[in-house]
Amino acid sequence: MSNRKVKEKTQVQRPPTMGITDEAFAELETIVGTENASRDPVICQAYNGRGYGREVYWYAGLSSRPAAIVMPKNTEEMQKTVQMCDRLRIPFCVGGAFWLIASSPRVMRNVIVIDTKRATKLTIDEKNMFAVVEGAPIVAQLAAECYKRDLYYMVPGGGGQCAVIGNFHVQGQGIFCYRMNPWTERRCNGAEWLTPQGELVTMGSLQNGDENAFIGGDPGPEILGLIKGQIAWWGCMGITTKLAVKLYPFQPEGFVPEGVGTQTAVVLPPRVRYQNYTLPTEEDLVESMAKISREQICGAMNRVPAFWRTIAKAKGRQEFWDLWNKMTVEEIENTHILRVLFIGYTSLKQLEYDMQVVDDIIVKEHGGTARRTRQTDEGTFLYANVNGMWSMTGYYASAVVGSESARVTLGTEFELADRIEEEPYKSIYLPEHHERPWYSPFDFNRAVYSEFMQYPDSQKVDPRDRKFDANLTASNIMWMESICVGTQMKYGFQGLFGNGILNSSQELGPTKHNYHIWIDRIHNEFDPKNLANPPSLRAIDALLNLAPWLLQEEYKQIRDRVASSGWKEE
Amino acid sequence: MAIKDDLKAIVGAGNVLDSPDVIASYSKDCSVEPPGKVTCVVRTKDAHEVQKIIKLANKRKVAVVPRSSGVHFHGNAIPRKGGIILDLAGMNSIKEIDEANLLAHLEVGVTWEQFQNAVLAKGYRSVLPLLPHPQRSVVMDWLEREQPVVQVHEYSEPLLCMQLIWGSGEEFVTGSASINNFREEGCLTDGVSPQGPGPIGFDRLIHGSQGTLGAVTWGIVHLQPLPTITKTKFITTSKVEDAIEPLYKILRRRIGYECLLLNNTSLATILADKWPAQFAELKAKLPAWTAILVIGALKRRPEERIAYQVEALDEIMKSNFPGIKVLDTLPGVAKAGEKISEMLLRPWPKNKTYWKHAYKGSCQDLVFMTTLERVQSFIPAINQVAAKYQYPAGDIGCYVQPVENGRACQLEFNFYFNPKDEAEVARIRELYAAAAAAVFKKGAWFNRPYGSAVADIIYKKYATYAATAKRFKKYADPNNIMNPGNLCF
Amino acid sequence: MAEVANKFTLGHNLDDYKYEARHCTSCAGCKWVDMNYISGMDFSWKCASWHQGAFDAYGAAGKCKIIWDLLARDLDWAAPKLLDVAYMCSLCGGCDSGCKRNLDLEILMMLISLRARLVEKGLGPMPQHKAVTSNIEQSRNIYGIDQKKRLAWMPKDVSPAKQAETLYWVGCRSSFVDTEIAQATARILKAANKEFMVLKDEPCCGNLVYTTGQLDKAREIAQKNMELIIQSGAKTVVFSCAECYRMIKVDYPKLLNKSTAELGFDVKHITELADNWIKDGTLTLKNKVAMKVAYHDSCSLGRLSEPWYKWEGERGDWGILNPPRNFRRGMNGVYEPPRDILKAIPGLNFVEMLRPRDQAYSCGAGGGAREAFPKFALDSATERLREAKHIGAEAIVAACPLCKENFKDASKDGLKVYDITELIAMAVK
Repeated sequence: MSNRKVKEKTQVQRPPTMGITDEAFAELETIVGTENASRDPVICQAYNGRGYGREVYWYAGLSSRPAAIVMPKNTEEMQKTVQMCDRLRIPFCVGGAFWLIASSPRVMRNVIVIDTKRATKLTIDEKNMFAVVEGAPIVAQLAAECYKRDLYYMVPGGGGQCAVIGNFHVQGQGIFCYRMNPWTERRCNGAEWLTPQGELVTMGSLQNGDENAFIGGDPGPEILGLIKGQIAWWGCMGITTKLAVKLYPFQPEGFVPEGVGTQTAVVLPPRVRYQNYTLPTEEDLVESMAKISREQICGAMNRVPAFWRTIAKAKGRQEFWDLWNKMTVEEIENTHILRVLFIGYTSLKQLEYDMQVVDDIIVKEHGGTARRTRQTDEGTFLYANVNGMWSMTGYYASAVVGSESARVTLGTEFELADRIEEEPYKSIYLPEHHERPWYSPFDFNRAVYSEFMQYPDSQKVDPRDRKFDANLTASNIMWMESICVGTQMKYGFQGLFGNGILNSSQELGPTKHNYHIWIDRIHNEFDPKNLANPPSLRAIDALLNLAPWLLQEEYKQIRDRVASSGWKEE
Repeated sequence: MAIKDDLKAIVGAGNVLDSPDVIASYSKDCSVEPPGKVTCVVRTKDAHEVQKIIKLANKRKVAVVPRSSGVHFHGNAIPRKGGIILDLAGMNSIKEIDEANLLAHLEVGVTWEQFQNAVLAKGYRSVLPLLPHPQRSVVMDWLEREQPVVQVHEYSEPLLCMQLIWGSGEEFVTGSASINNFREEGCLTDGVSPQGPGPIGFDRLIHGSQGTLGAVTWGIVHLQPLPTITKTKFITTSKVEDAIEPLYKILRRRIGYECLLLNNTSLATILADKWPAQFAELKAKLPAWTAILVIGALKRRPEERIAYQVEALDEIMKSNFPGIKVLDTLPGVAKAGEKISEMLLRPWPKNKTYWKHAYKGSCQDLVFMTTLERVQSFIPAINQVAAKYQYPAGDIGCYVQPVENGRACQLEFNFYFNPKDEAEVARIRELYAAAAAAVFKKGAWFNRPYGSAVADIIYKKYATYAATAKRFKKYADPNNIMNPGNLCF
Repeated sequence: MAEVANKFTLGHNLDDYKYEARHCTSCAGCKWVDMNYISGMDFSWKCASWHQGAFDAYGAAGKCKIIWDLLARDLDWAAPKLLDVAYMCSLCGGCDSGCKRNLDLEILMMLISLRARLVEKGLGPMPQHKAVTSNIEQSRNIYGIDQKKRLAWMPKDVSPAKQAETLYWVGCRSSFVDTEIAQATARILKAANKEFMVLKDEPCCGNLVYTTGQLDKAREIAQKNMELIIQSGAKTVVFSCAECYRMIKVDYPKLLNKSTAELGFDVKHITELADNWIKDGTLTLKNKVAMKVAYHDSCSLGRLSEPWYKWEGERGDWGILNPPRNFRRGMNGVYEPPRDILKAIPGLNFVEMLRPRDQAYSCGAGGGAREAFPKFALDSATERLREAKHIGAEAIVAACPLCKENFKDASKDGLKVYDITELIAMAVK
């Protein structure tokens, strides 16, 4: 069925564009309590345009102040709120920690923001290793509770400040995916889903109650697949009001925090150890990673770019630039550091065994050396330093992030690292000095995860800043939307998210079995009135309609080649 | 034109079978499910033929029941509303074994025997369910949520990407392999990610669907390195609960690869070479419950790897369960450790009667998920039901498969029966329904619901789930031709 | 749209914080305790305003969005909730130090500048703040009490010198209400044989005037008080009130366009001195004080107490400041001296709070919050006391009379509240 026919068949009604009426607001107050609802413009403004991804939408004025904020306490209140929205055709969007894109750039003037801050339930079944959470708990809170119980949880690379549920939907990956399944939905024992029509659907063994949420799967097709795939729905399929997640065996001693300010860290207990290794070449690093993974030892590992080390050394932006400007291409090309996390899951002897095997591989077989490594950690178990990434230039974008096999991931990322050294990109971004992006093995190196980031001057890509540079901004967007996306498509790399096209199912769908048609089908089935976080699904497409020049010829050729290949019906 | 003629035009006359013998054999399986009505059996050689058949079936509103294994145990491939059997067993090529990424790309008809031989020959292994029938489809067993005997979390869910023909007739591929030019020149994707494409978890929806959404034609499964040495330990107890607590502690410390708990009946069916004498002898000699733990090491410093695990195991048992012995072998079984660890690497040998059928000819399994600590609570309920149907409690097999470091387990009760005795078949059918109801009441989680008896119970409770699944099926199979009447459809 | 001028001062012009408002990444470093210090579901938030106010508007990230829109003229300054959002905050600096863990944004200065702009526009401060300012103007103290009674707290056994190198600046609260703190401090100075003087007519430091955005009046107070101190000939000014300490050490130079080093005298909290005296034997702690105590890091002594460095310059490419700015990240606050003192007191069992040092959850009283939002202040104090109880403390100890007052108001179930000077005095008697 063609796109046009699908659209015709599934005509979506446009929601009203007025703000919320007095009657509707009064009903909201009745549901959640007057102190938990507001349509004061000051209160609402705080929920406008947030964080990562904001620059494309917020700066461009596509995000604006919502009509009202409500804070329901539990599923019952959330359901009543959504049912009201459905009845009165009021669009809504939901947020947990409000960090990433999920409720950021799609907030519009007629939207109600549902802040799940009051839904604070977190229970843990220590013996059967699962937790049930509502919308508010952040990953750091869950992780900290786990560490008290000889367990651990998947702390995302973006840091522990994101909501457990939010992170599950958007990405749910970090270096612990070396062992913990990188495929987020396989780490879920169940979910409670509030559809945009206000129906409550529970899935997984959570259907038998919170205390029985010990395993995923359903008595038939696993309907978790409706709300969780590779990328997020960005709230367009309603609200996950509760999630049951798997926890993992760890080691029994907890972490003790130390330090102040930029120097906080946790002291590693005896059965947790970090070790940094220098290797002679990048090939040695990649091969070592593969060999260690093939032995299925250690807790995690990742390449440490010079960029990160410089951020860690610097107290702030000025210091970073002082240090980074002294960096040379030779130094970067000759520095290959692999950071290995050892966890004594079984015993201290097991940790020692792991270290010995890694030594055999890295030192004896690949000529690497073990560096002096502090036995404290700043950003693995609870935190991540990802927000330090913004401090260098005020802006960064993970343009290409995701995982596939090593040859795909590293091929994609290394090619981008080369191309960013070409003009006009070289001069608009923070000089990379030919640095390679960071990467980390997932699933015992069956997949390799990597992120390619680039850093323009935030002032120059902000239309409201006096330093705004339209040409630079155009080059930045073209880099992200054409070069990055095209390169991913060329290699077959399945990117997770990005500012633009990666969220355009209309662009990518035809290259991947027309999954965009499925998105329309499923979305129209469960949100026929288009009330859940509109216009999120189509925001990118709207942008592309406004600025078709974003798609360069190079990208279009790759796209068309891939779209026209593959299965041909006989 | 009669549909058979249309089918022959697609697959060739020799691949459309409707002789009484063939119809009879496809209308039933090894379970106690009543036979269904089969119009004919269609054998396909590739996904294009599968697509054409499904499109034809849509046009003619004829039911299609896909099968890819040579043997079926649970009744889910018996047509409940008549129709065509779509036999994909002939689509059995191993397209690729990717040693760099530890993946194998298999057509859906590839069997355990075929696959494991190929993989072991290259020095790898795949995880397996417990001693699968050699004729079972690898891809199908994972789609049906069989549980691997290697219970480490990292080895769970071996099936990654897959190709299928939806019930609508559309071809689709899940995961990172969904990129159109997968496996064509210029595309490097290896299909390691099962996610998506896009925000829909297609692989989640297809898992457990038992052919009601479409016909899977190939899958990518992961491989694992083969241990270079193993050491098998046995924990034997007279009560199941005495084995459970040690398992919690052992698996929590990530000791061992394969781990399973069997009662004497089940274990005897596995170990007996000579029937019926040796079976009876083993059944009498073996402890009531035996937990089997295979500790393994990979390539590097294998002895040290074994040593620290054994030391940790001994420490756990000594400190917490001093009264329970950990054995290196089993009474009455020579070299039990080596024997079992070797067996667990392979499907059941094709030259031997399948272990579940050796006792009485067939077996009806009641299988569901629970937690280890609840296992003991189900046994009295099962025994009660068995007594009601005059089934000797001592004849019931019981297999507890810990899942993912002991977070849960698959609990399986085996009711052996003579398939040629119609009265017994009927009795087991009723026993199965009653047993399913009894365990369901106690909180059994049926992620593999087999049989109309189970369906009748569970979908009443999970009505919202069923309604939601149907809303998806509207798009996957708009004319409801795929295995209609199965599950909640 | 107001454009940022090329050159700007790190001062109180809200327009100079457009960069801050625009570059908040919503990382939530302003709301939560540093993740490495999160110990579980409970006690994991740092920003009392956000924690108590619930809506994101009450946290710094929300305020960034609000300030941006105010500056862009898309939000009305007269919006009803703006004063609430601006003033239901103790200006504890938790957001500022949390943000500066990773970014270089001057969040606290932005928040004070918001208040200053509200005052400029005649919308602020709150009526309760105006009342206090009126008291100060008329009576030279925040209470409006007869200033002649300012020294009535002095114990008979303590005789301050007429002239000394050390000036003890008592502060309004300890002079009139929490007199036990002033008395304990005086006794500590005496026990250490340290000559000190006091100002007979010590005026209010102006802390509440400044923190509520009344800059002109605050500047006037600062100027006059500076002259007083200089005229006194003091080389060192010692404080027992963390608020006065911070006001004179940090905010006077800020208001007067100086750096702390240019004040012309040293500024010390009594804990800094007492710690040194204990370590070098000048002060002997003889008596046992058998108690299990938790120490509350008062914001003004902790993360807000680093010296002020005046700065003027511009923001160039990549957002780099020229000249480079010395960022005050709260890392060098007076954290260890109070701890060392408590650990040195015989018989005292010191337990660390789950949110220690720069992670401290504010008592909720500062920044005019207690005056205008008493429930917020009480709830914040209750939260902090709950934490002390959770770790098994019998008493909570602070180094600021405002913290002590607020904790006392909130303390219900037997948890004792002390100022650190009282415990030191108990130990030296």
